Amino acid sequence: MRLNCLQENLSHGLGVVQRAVATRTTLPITQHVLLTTDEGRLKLSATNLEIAISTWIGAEIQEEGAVTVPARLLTEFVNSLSRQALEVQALKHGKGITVKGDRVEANINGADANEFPPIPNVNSGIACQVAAKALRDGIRQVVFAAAIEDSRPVLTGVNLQFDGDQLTLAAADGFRLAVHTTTLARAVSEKLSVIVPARTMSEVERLIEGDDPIDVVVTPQRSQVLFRMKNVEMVSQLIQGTFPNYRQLVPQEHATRVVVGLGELQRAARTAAIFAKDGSGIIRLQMQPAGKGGGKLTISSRAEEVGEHVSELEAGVEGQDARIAFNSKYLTEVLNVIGEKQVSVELTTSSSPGVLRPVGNDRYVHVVMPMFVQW
Amino acid sequence: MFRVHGHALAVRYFERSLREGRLHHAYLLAGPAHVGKMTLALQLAAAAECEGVDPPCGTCKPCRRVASGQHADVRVIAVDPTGGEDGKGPRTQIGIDAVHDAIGAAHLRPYEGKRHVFIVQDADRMSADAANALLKLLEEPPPDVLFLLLSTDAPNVLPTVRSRCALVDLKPLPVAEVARVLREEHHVDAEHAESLARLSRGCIGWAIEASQGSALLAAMQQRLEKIADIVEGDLETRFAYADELARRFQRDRAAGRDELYLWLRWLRDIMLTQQDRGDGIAHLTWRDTLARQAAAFTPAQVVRWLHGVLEVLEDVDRNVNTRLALEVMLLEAPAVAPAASA
Repeated sequence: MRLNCLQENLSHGLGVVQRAVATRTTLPITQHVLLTTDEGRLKLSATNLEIAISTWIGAEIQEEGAVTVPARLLTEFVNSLSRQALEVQALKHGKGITVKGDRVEANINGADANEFPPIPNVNSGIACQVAAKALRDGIRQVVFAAAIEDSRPVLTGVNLQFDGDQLTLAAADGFRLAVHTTTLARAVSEKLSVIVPARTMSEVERLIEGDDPIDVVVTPQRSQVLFRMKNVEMVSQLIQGTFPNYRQLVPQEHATRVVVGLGELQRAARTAAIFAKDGSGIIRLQMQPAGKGGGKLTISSRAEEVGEHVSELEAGVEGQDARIAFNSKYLTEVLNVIGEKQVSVELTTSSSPGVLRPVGNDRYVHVVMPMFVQW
Repeated sequence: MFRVHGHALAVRYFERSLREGRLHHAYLLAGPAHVGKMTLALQLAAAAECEGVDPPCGTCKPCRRVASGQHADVRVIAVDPTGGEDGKGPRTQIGIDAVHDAIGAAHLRPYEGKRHVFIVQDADRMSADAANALLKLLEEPPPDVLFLLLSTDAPNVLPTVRSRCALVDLKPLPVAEVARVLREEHHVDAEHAESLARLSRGCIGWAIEASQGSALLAAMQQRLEKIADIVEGDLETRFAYADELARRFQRDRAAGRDELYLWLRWLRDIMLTQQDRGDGIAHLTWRDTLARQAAAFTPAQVVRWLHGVLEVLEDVDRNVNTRLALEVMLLEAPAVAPAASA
């Protein structure tokens, strides 16, 4: 293998695949990056056996070939160079590369390309296309609600349900549930439900650049999903199992509904979080419908021996008086992604889940379990 | 076809399970060190991934990838002697992190093969947390997962974990079989092969490694030399040895016990020599020393000594002061008459 490419392209490409390089592993080769010449370009691939990322960069190929080298070493070396043209050449025995630049040269030992785990090839399967912005928004609104490390592995993933031209993304961790519905740019041929690791979804969101629509393909065996972006392909293993039927968890009725400006609620929640930090993260919300004055939403938090805080917001309150307590982390996280001018909070009782929705947008719903407190 | 030496019973059992598609999700392969647990486990892993006929065929791509340790779905979980990057130093146990990684991987679909295979080396050396986390996975295994737990000390595997595995006991191979393999497959000359086979106690991995000039054989010779010296030594050298061995017990119980088993075999060799059954001895290269020592003691003395060693083995399991037990054993042991040792 011999080729010429630009330092900034190589550095960018390595940055893209780097997130799929294994850190802690029983298979050392997964800490390598695979360099392959591919139809006049250089393909960089990495996999940690959960996520595989491939990206293509422009290069002038003089001799075809493939080789793998330790990803961290190559990345650190390339990033340390100034912008310049680089010549990359495989070592004679094929187990490493020489990188030559302007008065700089490095030999990096690696391994035979055959030792690299095969990058899954997803050519056929159930395919669809989704707009970049739609997917990015969808991921951003649900991925944080997935469980980090759970005794129920299905909850560490994001559930993707494809049905006609609709895509529903859902994530839950036992205390909250986020559901986002979006329209596909190209519909699927059959109904499909898969669970993608939350880490994968975060990486997809990070890798989406520009406005080009993204191809999503699920293998016929339902074992892998491919996200094809501009110059980047990402294949992820799917989580085995069935995602809980969450539709029945979204309360259908409510006794009280509050509509409040998102910015104001966000600020009040942030303020409350300061005191809640030392008080088990409890934020109390009290709603009062319009009587003599306008309706209001009171937010308070307190911590023993630290102090307490109360903010009052003007709000449109329908229904009866209500109060509920939420975990401050759960409340602030959902408010950060809700993304409309106003947000509605629906409650039935102080011990049943609260529902948050952006006002004027029925594509998102977020359910949070309340905390039980002494009022 | 399985490519392992010996273990015909286990191989037949696995072959039948594979043929009938009734492989369990978890096996505990138990047997002494170097008996062939890992070899069998890797063959079984290859069989689970194999795409050829009569798995493991050994020639298909998955078989070859498993054999060269490249298969992404076959993971070996072992004690990490080098220590992690977190600077906690060398590990003596399999930690919870390794098991958590396995749990995460087990719930994904296999990467390139048909199923996930997790080989847990030294399953008796899992931390309590790790073993309990693994237990959860063993109790509710995701589909397409095969666990192979290996242990030299199966009784010390967490009982709840043990009871979720099908137990496969691997016995040492017949000495003649070990010698034959050494001669025919590793080109060891007949005499050396016989000697190594006897020293190996039927643990073929040890014999093969020793035949390839590793440090194993030298270390064994050194230990035997020491024992031979102590048998003929005076009380002072014997007590120094008791002290040294007691320290070894403190560091590594298994190594200490192993030394006592070596003592048993040595004393047995002396007895055999006394009864003119010298052809059955384990330590062929020590024939002259054994003959000398056989002449120096009466059979009754050797039998008593042997009982002494057995008693120590029992005592250390009851938490008796190891050094004291060893000293008593060596104190009661007969001394070589000054005339004989001169």
